[in-house]
Amino acid sequence: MIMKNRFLQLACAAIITSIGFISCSKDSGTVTIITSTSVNSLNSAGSDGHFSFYSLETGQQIASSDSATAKWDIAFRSTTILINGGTSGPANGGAFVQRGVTFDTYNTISTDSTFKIDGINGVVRAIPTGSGNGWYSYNFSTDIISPIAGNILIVRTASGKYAKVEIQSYYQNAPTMPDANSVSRYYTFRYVFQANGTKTFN
Amino acid sequence: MFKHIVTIGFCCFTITTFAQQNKTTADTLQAKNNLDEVVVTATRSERKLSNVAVPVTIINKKTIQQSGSLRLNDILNEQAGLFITNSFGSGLQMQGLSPDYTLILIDGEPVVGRTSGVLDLSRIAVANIKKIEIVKGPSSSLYGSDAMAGVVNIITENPYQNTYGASLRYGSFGVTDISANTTVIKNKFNLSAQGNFYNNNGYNLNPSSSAQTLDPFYNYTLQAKAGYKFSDKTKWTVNARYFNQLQTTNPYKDVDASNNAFVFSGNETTKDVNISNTLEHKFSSAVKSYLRIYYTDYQSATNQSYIYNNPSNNIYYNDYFEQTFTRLENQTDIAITSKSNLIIGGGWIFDNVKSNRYDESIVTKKNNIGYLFSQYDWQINNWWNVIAGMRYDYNQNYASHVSPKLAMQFIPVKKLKINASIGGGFKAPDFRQLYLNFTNTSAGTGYTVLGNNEVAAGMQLLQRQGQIQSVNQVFYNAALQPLQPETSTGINLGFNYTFTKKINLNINFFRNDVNNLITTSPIAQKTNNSFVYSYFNLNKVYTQGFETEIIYKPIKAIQISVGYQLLYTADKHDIDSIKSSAGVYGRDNGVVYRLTLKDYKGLFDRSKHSANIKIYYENKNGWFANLREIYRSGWGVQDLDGNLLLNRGDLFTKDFFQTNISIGKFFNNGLKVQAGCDNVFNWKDIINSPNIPGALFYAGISYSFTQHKK
Repeated sequence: MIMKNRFLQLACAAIITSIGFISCSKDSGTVTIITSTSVNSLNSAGSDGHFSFYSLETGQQIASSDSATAKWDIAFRSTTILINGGTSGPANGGAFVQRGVTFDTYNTISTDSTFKIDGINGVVRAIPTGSGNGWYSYNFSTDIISPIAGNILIVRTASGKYAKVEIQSYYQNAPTMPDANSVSRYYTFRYVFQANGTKTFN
Repeated sequence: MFKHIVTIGFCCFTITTFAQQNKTTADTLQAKNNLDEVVVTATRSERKLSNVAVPVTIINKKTIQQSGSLRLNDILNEQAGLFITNSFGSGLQMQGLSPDYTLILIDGEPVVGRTSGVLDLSRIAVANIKKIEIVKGPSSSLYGSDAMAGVVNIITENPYQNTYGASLRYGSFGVTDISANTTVIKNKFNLSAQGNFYNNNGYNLNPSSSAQTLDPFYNYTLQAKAGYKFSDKTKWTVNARYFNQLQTTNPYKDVDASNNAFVFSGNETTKDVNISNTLEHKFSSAVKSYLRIYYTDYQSATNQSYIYNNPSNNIYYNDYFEQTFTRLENQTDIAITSKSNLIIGGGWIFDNVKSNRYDESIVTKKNNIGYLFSQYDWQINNWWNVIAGMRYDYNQNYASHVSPKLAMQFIPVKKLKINASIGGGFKAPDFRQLYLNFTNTSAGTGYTVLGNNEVAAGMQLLQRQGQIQSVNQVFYNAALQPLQPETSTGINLGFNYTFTKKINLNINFFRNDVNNLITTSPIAQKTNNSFVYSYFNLNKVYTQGFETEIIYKPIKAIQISVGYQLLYTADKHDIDSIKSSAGVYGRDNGVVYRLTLKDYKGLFDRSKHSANIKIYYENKNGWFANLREIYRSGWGVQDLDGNLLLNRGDLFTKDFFQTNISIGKFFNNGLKVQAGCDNVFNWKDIINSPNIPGALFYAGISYSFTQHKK
């Protein structure tokens, strides 16, 4: 029902570079509580040791000085993704990796789904790290990180609402065929945020 | 990723033998009908090619020379179904199986020294060998470990008349090849010796990079074969070979993680010694025995150091690897009746490896292998031949293994020969898979690889040091199990039909099922985000297809051959995953879809179709010319959608086309001139085939003098 128009999405993506993030607006003219957003090349290099914090609810990047608040929902640093809950943040966020679905057709979070939270010392993460465990696979012969097709992240935000997130690329400007020269740690992802607190996305 | 390691490929059946030629020239090798040629590799005894029940290809000296091939990879690349891989040197993919699974022999004795399972074929000069025999399908029943896909045997010339000769060739990229050889026969003693020097200036396919695509190198090979005939019953032969190569790393500029420029340079030396001793004795007209002692030593050392902005200890990368392999073997051939022969044999192998790859310092690892083999060959009647063989390998470091084989030949009508064989192959875990304990510091990524024997202690240490961020429990548990040998079953069914003296058709269907494939995969992720890898038996793969060749000789001076191979490969685990209710998802042009079996493309690095057309011409006046076309359909090189298997939407190479031509003339006085071009149309794929620099032109001259026996 929502899906912002694709042209706008592309236009927004084209404007933003490197540290860019982008929140495309809701469909103009209709009142909806579902937002679809594409984020292009969010820098997660963590060169200062900090994660890059992001609010799915507002579509804004959040300053790392606000890391101890409920302002952010997910955070990125290289291949690690945190949620705002458990040992990672003060809010009640959670997440799990839904395997074997396509982003567009996944519309309902089943009632028996368990949202995980980040545990101690990063031993347990809501979104597990490691090749093949969570959102990506690592190919050591090419040294390339590829998002696993069919795996999406189901996130409970800091405010207890729900979003589905698909990581599309780990490389700057999301090249179709990343190679040794591609710059890594740049997240390109899209997500749908349901603002009314229900577990449906349509 | 495991698919990369598990590379499995394809194969084709080619009996490529050159026929017609000028009787007046000195080094003419007359091959009347290639089916009359004698092969030794398939049964460890001399048999006519037409009488061998397993797929065999012979490439003779004339084909090698007229094709202008210098190294083993040059000539094997022109055989349909043989795929030359290009990581860790030029490896050979055969019958759908990766380079790890083909045994390379020189005069029946194994060549050792593999990197990541690959034996670099370019180490072997082929200009002066007698012929190459290629046996396809599992041959572990005769040769033991590694002969899972097949065996390539380089047969050197036996000294039979006094000769001397020399040749010189120069071509693109400074490729210079100089050879000299001599043979002396004196009463009961004979000696042949030859030397070869090869230089390549290297090339750079990517001008924006300061690193050469191929660093310059040169090598030389010295070879000698001596024989002494004590009596008509007793003969002694010694065969020695020495290879030495030096490759220089041109100064290479790069930047480190903090963006500081640095430069390093260095070199890599490779040495290879092979010495074999054979004492042959005929106890009676029915019993003949061979006692063989073989020693080989392979050494490779890489030393690269910083020459600008030296960060600490001046060492950029140091690698040392040495393998010594000593084998004592007896083989006895017994003619039980005029129609049945028995071969029995046994031996002991001392296999030692000394390297810094297994630990921080240089350590030595040893393995001892004992084996027994036998083969019974029974010509039941004039249309039915049966060969049954079996080999038992005892291994100090892991379980012993039995490899059986059964082959049959039927000749229902005179023009048709049907060959059927089934055999077991195996490959023992190698030193690297058992003992590797390596953390890469030079690449800046800091990944760790732990062999099977090291994984428990290695992981405990890393965990104690707090270096482990997360563990892939499934793979880690698998890695803790003792490694088993990889095993295979191969079936070949071949038909050879001679339409007329001018046309011969060969077709061979094959299927290989490999179990317990040793794969490598991350077992844990370190806190620095790099991975810990180990080895474990996991995958089951198959390769199947057929290979065919038609040889047509329209007139005496011309031979045309057309070869083709169709290959299907799959990892059975991938197929199960695709069929499972959870399914596997892929991404094609950004669109995520659920895979069907149709979307699955099998194993990486395999061409589904490969073909060649070769035309050889030679007339009575000594002129020769040839045209060889090689085609391979694109092969999968990289997973792009994180599902780790190869499917629609992943990265494939473009189709491979190469056209090679050569022209030359033999003169009556033993002189030969030749010029040619490989890859006439300048096919290139800089990313996926950096071993192919484009068109290569060359010209050469050789002289050969033979003192004919009176």
